[in-house]
Amino acid sequence: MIENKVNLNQTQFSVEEPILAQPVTIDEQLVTADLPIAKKSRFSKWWWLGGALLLIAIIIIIIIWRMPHDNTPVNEETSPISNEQILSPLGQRLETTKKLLKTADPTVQELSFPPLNLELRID
Amino acid sequence: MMKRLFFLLILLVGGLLFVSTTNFVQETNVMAQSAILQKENLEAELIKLNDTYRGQLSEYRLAERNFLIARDQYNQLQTLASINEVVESARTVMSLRNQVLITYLDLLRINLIAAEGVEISLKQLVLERLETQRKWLQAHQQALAATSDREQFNRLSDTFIDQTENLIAVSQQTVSLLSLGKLQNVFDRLVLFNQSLVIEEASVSGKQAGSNIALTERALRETERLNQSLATLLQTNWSNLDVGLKEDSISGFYGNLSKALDPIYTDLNKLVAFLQERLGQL
Repeated sequence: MIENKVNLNQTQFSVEEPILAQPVTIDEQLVTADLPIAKKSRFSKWWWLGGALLLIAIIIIIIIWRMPHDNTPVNEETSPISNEQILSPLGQRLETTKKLLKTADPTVQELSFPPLNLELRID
Repeated sequence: MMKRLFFLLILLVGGLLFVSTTNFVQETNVMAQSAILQKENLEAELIKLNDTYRGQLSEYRLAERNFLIARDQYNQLQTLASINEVVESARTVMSLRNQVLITYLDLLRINLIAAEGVEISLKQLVLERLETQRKWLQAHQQALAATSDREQFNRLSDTFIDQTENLIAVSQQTVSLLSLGKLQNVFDRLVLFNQSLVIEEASVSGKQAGSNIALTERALRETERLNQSLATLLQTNWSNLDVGLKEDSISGFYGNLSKALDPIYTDLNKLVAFLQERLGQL
């Protein structure tokens, strides 16, 4: 009983019919009728392209603008790894000034007149 | 059509903005880099000059010893050979002395150019005087090279002795300017630092209790008082130095330099301690 109802041929498709068995008929009315056209977007591709380019230009400008600020820490006192690195910016400024103050001691004079004999004479 | 025009306009504006910004940033970079390069060049030149100066000074000392020996021999022997020997050693030692002084003046010049905290007009005045003395030494050097007679050497020695007063004066003027300029530079930096610290303290004071605010205000008043005192001291010294430079009579100021500047140095150290204490309380 079961064998008669179920088709056991697995190579056969369930819906199988010869191609172009029946000629295709085109409805003339459908072809000539005004089909509803998809509504055009308010912003054409030119708008989007222009906006995108402007955005890219602004991003590049911002990146370039920020570049010198990243390079500025070429400071007069680019000291080696020291305690200064863990100091706050204000702390670092004060440390730099303290170093300058050490070199400004008026009792230490490095550029005094050279020790020369200024009265050299043959006779 | 309008949309395309709009697109082109956006492209044009964006392009112009990009080009102008790039140029501006490049110019700013070039300026900053040139300032850094200039500073680095000055520092490199100072190191080089210092080495040259030390080398020339040791050469001079050796030549001076040789000259003194040759002169003693000449005084004892009075021979043609000893005259020849003393003349040649005199040429060498005098030439080396001029070279040492030229290098020394160059050292002073570069230090003065690199100095911060010195008024431009005073800097310019002393730089011109340094240049005048340098030219005199170069001319004297040429005269030495062209001289072969013992009497001429003695005359050149005399002209040098007459010039030493000017050489020493310009050295004292530069050293005085540099010393006071260094202290002024530190003071200027501390004043700016104090302003930044006041802003920082103001932003923090909202979170502080009443007693802490009173403490901060008292510390600020003490710092201001010290600032005022330092500004007056510096001003007095600048006035004295200005008079000394313009009247070309620096020896009084220079002789008193250490004594006059020491109170400023002490007060600056005190100011640094105050600021550090306030910074620690943040």
